[in-house]
Parts: sequence; structure tokens; C-alpha cells
Amino acid sequence: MRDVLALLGSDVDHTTLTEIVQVTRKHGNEDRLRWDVLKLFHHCSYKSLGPDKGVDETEAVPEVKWLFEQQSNEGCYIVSPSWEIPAKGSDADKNDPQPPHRQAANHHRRVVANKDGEFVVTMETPMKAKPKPFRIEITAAGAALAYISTSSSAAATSSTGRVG
Amino acid sequence: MHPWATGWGEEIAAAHLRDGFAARVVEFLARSDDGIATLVGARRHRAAEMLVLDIRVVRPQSPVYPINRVETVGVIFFEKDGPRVMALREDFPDTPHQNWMPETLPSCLCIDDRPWAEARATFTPAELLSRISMWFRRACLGELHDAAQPLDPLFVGALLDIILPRAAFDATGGPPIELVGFCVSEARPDHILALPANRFKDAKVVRDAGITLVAFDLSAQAMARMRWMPRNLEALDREMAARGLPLIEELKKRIISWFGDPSAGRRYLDSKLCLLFRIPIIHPLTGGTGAQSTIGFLTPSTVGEVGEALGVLYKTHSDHTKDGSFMRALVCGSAATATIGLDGVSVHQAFDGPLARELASAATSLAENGVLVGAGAIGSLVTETLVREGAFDRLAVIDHDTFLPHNIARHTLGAPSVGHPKAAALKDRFASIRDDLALSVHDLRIGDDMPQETFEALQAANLVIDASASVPTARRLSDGPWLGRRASIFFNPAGTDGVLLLESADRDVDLRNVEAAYHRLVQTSPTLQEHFATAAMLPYTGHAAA
Repeated sequence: MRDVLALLGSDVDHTTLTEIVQVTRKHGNEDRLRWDVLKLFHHCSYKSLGPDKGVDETEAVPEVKWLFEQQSNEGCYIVSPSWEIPAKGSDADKNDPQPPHRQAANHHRRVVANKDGEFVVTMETPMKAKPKPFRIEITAAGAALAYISTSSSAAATSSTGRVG
Repeated sequence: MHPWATGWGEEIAAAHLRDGFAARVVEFLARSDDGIATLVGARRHRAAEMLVLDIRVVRPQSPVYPINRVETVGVIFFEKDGPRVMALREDFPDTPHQNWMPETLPSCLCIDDRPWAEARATFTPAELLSRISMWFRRACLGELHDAAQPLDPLFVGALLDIILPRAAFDATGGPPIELVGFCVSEARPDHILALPANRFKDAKVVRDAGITLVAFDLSAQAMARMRWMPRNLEALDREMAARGLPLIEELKKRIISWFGDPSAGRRYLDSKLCLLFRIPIIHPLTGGTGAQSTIGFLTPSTVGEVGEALGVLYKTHSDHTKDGSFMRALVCGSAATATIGLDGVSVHQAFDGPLARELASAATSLAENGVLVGAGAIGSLVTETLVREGAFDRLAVIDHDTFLPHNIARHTLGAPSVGHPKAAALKDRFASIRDDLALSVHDLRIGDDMPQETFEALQAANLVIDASASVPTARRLSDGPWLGRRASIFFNPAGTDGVLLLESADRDVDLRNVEAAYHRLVQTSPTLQEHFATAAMLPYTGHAAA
């Protein structure tokens, strides 16, 4: 049995996050910032990571880098509550200042790859053409991403229902 | 992907599937937008067809088994059997609840253990995909095994079934168990009933059908993928060595020891060898080891021949003996273990009191010593049920009556018992249910004069069941000097009510008191208003009805 730790991010940028990390460290409460599930800050905006978007990957400021890379647990989930991540060179990628930002998404993909985790985008799950709600289940073995089946089946019984 | 999958038949377009159910699964996937299963491809091999699917697994951060977030499976559809689900990852982990497969084939997931004839009526594409998804989810959480499910056997592929007495399961060390094995039904030539050899006076029977059984206890292990039963001693030795048992060396020691037994040595050497391995299984849910897997192997060869193959004995032929006899090899030869064939046996324990109580979920026996007074219909029904639930180690049956044709209507006995004393016939029936019951017959009516052995049986009883349907008998039993608890069972005159009068365990409230309370209840309870009313009956005086 294990605990599952979640950070639910709001629309804050890297300066606020830096302050949160610094204050937490000052009080010796680093453990409070450990996470298994992270709902991203500001819809996968690069500004939650650092001041510069970057070409292919946003570089996080030191405190935010620590928060993502050191405080994430093995098998972690990063959930981006956002539209699809723009493809490189697309119109949204080149011209839309609003999140989600491809470069930020690349940062998050790298973080989870190093932890055998998963990066999930709400409007891409289970598929871009037909996104649907999904669940993060809290189990004895940690958090698990579960797609919601739209069809029902008979009870998964292994009993024939009669004995004699 | 497992190389087996890419070499299985030929690739086909999903639109060209011939199997109706497979085609429905493809249609279902096309309509479904939940992303749980994705069609990767389709193949055909003779009459069977396979869909290759990617399954999105509900995989937690720390799965119990190394299951991936997306697993590729091949679902094979057969004309006349249920679908088989093969995990196509080459390094798919060994988990419980996989069907047995040869080593060269991928893992086969056990998603439904119902017979296909039972399951097919409700099996839909949604059910199939739901079961596959559920299997992976449960594997990740270590919940593949339901609490009510029997544990998977360690080995499959037994050719024979053998019924063994309890002594075979309790044997630890010491001399081997000597048995005689019979095939009891021509319709079931693969079922062997093994009985203790000391029941048989005829030495030839023991020699021709003798079985020498030896049991080994192994250390506890977790449920794992089922393996095929080894077919020879060499393969069995490898399996047991992996579990810490040097089987060949143990057998050599034992056969040498048996050879040296002056009284039983010849019997051992002439008999077939039966090996039992008792392995406590670690329950996947509780972690406890209450359950035990018992694996059996029977040699077509005699113990002597096994000893010869192991190099510890050799066969001699002299002018004085028609048959060869075995001698101890002064220098042990090399063991030709691959030449010693084995028949894997499914092992069943013979029905006895402890097993009966286990099956009835009875922690202890209702009563060790019982007496049944009245071997009529109700006595036969109630007592037989108790015997089948493991009650009694000793049981005396008392009745003076003879079993007649009209008794068959409600009795447990049948036509072969007609003309026999009821007590003796019922005793034989109880003996046929449990041979560990010590039974005695008292062909008499309970009266003031009672043979000593009947008195002693009543004296020793913890429970006396009066099924005589006789008020004087019930009262005589109640008043008797014996210590055991009494119970009286009977029907009302119309046969519409069954009545049980049971004393308190300490007999402070005895049968007479309970009878008084019964009569008060009948007099005062509106629901029992018709209790003593008579109904139309067939009067019977022993003569055929006109």
C-alpha cells in the first residue's frame, strides 16, 4: 500500500512557483512538494517554467526544475488541462501566444520519460479526434490512468450462476 | 512482438475476416471511441483467425507484475471454441491465471474459466474487451485471483486420476504407504482407486496391483504460470531440484532402504512407485499458506525396475526362480533417469470424516459417538445427511423392522435392500458413504431387556437420535441412565410437518420436558391448529391393496 501525492496547479507563473519552493525549503518542508500526479500550471504555459519559451524545449528556472525533476515520483503523471499541443511549425505553434505551448510540453514529456511516467493532455485523451473525460485512479499500487469505457458489458463473472 | 505471432498464418485485411465474432469485434472497435483497444491487424491460419490489438492498460505506478501501459495481444477465434487471448510481448511476465502453453508459444491469458458452452450465450465484443482489460488491471494490482477461486494447479496434463486414502496425504518420512490400485470402471479406465494394501489377504493381488507411495514436502511457493507435467524422472528431477529437492538422491536412498527390509522388501520392489509432492501455496490475496497443492506421479515400472534404472539395483536370473529378483548393486551405476517414464496423476483424497467436515464447513464433529434408534425413512434421511457432513466416528443403528417395498417411497434405501433388516441395510449404506465410520447393528426393539452391547452403545453415545416414531420409545430413551444428549425426530400424522425435539446440551431440559413444551405449543399456536389432524393415508398391513 502506498500513498499517492497530487499537486493541483493553478494559473501561476515561474516567479510564484519559485517563491513557493523557496519558502517551503526554508521551513524544511520539501516533502510537501513531492508528487505522483501533477495537474499542470496554467494550461501547459511555458511561463510556468521560465521566462523564455525556447526553440524546442523550455528551460525551467532552478526552483521549478527542482520541483519537476526532483520532486516527481517514479511512474508519475503530468496532466495538461489544455487543448491539443500544437505541432511544430503549425499556425498555433508559430502565432498563438496562448497556452498550451509545444516547448513546455516537450519539457514535461522529458520529465516523465525519465520517471517511466506519462504526460496526458485532456483534449488529446483518449484520442485527439474524440477527447473524453478520464480518471486517475488511486490504487494500492499508486496512481493509474483509466480511460472510461463507453460500452457496458455483462458482469465479468466466472461463475455459471448455478451449482448442483 | 513475439516471433510466433508474425509467423502465424498470413496477414489479412480486417474486412476479409470470415469468423463472425471476430468481424463483430472489428465493427465494435470502429464504433467505439473510448481508446481502450485499437486494432493493429488481422491474420488467418487454416480455420482460425486472429485480431492483433493494442490494449490500453490501467497500469498503476508500481504494478505487481511488469505490465506495460499498452500491451499488444492476439485474440484467436476458433470455429467451435472460445477465443484465446495471447500476450504478444516476448518478455511478458509469468503471472497466475495464464492458460498452459508450450514454452515456445506466447503467454495465454485466462480471461474466463467458464466452459465455452456456458459463456457463449452472453459473450459480446464488449464483454471480450472488458475481460481483457480487467485481466491486465488485476494483474497490475496483484488481484488476478478471486478469493473464492480454487488456486491454479502447478502442473497440468495429468493422464490419470487417483483416489488416495488420507494416510497418503499425512505421511511424512517413515516407511512408505503400501496401497493396491484398481480401475473401478471400464467406462473410466483412467481413474484408479487406491486402497490400503493390508486390507487384502491375497498376496497375488498385492503383487499384481501394488503401489508403493512416498510423499515429499516442498517449501511454499506463489502461484505461477502452470507448467506441463514432466513425462520422465529426469524432467521431474529438474523441476524438483529447482524447488530444493534432490529427488534422484532421495529415491536412491529410499530404494536401497526398502530393498533391505526383510519383511516388505519384495512387496515394495514388485509394486509400482507413486510419488506425491506436497507444496504449500502462498495465497495471492492473503499471503497465507493454508492451501496445499498435491502433485502425483505414477511409474509404469516397478520399484525394482526404477532401482535398476537408477543404478542401485540389478536384476538376476537364476535356475531357482522363474522371475528375476533384484540384488543390490555394489557399485552404483549411472542413473538412466530419462528412461523412467511417469504418468502424471490428478490426486483426490478419499471421502472421510475430516474431509466431510471440511466440505460442510463444520469446525468439529457434531458428535463423535452416535446412536440411531429407528432406521425408518426419517431416521435414514437425517442420519445420512449427518454422516455426509462428517458427524460421528462411531454409530450404532438400532431397529427390529424389515425393509419392504413400500418403504422405498421415502427411505434412502432402495430395492436391493428389500427383505433385509433395516438396521443392517442402513448400516451398509452408511459404510458405503464413509469407510472410516465404526458401525454396529442392533436388530432389536428398545425395551426393558437390552443386550449388554446395546446398552454400552447407548452409554458411550454423545448423541442419541430417536427416529422410532414411537412415544414410548422416546420416553424410554429420555428416562434411560445414559449421559448422551437425546433428539427425537418425527412427522405429524398427516406428514405435513417435521418435528425435532432436542434436549439442552447438559440435559437439564430433557426430552420429556421438550415434549411437554411441544404439546403446549401445538395447543396454543394458531399455525399448528391442524398439526394433529389425520389425512387420507394408505393403510398398510403387509398385504397388497385391493
